[in-house]
Amino acid sequence: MSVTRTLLRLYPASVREHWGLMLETDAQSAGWRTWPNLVAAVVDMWLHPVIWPAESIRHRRHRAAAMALVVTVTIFVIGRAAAASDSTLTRHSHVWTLTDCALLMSCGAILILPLPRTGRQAVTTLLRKAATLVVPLSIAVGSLVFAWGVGRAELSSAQPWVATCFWLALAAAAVLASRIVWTTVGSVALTPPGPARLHLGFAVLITGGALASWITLSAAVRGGRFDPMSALTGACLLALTFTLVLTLNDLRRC
Amino acid sequence: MQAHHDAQILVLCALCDGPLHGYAINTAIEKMTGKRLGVGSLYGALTRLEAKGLIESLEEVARTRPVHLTPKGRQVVEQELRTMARVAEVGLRGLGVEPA
Repeated sequence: MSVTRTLLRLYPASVREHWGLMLETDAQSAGWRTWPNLVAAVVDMWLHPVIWPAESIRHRRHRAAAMALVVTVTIFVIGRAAAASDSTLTRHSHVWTLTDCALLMSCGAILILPLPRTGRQAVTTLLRKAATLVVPLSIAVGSLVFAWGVGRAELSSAQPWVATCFWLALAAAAVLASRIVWTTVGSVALTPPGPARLHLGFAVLITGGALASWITLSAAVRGGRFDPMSALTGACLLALTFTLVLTLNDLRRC
Repeated sequence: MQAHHDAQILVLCALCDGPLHGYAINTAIEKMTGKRLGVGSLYGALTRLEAKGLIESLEEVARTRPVHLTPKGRQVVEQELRTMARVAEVGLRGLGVEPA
C-alpha cells in the first residue's frame, strides 16, 4: 500500500467516505509533496469531530458528547497517574485538589451523557447494542473495580506487578470506555444532550480540566524547585482541555 | 486558525462562478493566487464549509462530487469580499497608489 493511501486511511471514516475517490485521486496526483499537508489535515480532522460530514445537527452533538467523554476519561487517567506520583496533589493543602477536579468533571460528564430513548424499537436496539458490548463492558468495569481496590493501597509500596496490573487495568478501562462511547455515536437508541445541557457540560468539563492543569503546573514549580514530570503532566492536561475548547467552538459555529 | 480561514475564503471565491469538484476548485485557486492549496487543506476547508452550511455537495458525477455555494455561503462570501475590498482600498490609498 502506498504512503498516500496509508495517510488517507488515517482520516475519520465519515470524511473519507464523503469525499471518497475525489480525495484519493487528488492526493495521488499531488505526490509525496502533499504528505506533510495530509498528516496535518488528518490530525486537524481528529481534533474536530463536530465538523465531520453528518446527517443532522443531532449527529454532530452526539459526536461532541462522545469526544468530550473520551477526553474526560483520558484526563482522569493522567490525573490519576499524577496523583500516584505526587500525593500532595490530592491533599487538602491547596484550595482545590485533583480529587475536587475529578468530582467537578464527573458532574460535567453526567451532564453531557446521551440518554436512552423510549419506544419499543429504541429499547430493542439498545439491548442488542448492550449485548454486543457486554464483554468489553464487563472487562472495563472489572478493570475499574480492580484499579479502585489497588488504588486505595499505597502504590509506591506495592509489589511491582501489582502496580503494573493497576496501570494496565486503568488503561484498559479507559480504552474500552472510549471505544464503547464511540460505537454508540449516531445510535438511534440514544438521544444526544440538548444544546443547553451540552454547552453547560462542556463549560463544567473545561473548568475542571483547566483547574487540574493549573494545580499540576503549579506543583511543578513548588518550593523553588522545578519538577519536569509535573510540568509535562500539566501540559498534557492543558492540551486535552484545549481540545474541549475547540469542540465547544465548533459546536457554536456549526 | 488564520490559515483555515484563508483556505475557506479561497474555496468560497472559487465557487462563485458555479459548482466545481475538488481538483477544479484547486485549479481556480491557482489561477487566482498562483499557488495550489495542499490536498489536506483543500478538503479540510470543504469539510468545514459544509459543516457551517456555506456549501453543499451535489450528486456524484463521474465519481466526483461537485460542491456549490448555498444562499448563506453567497451572503458570507459577498460580505467577506466587500470587507477585503474596503481594507485594500484604505491600504492602497495610504500607500499613495490608486486602487485598481
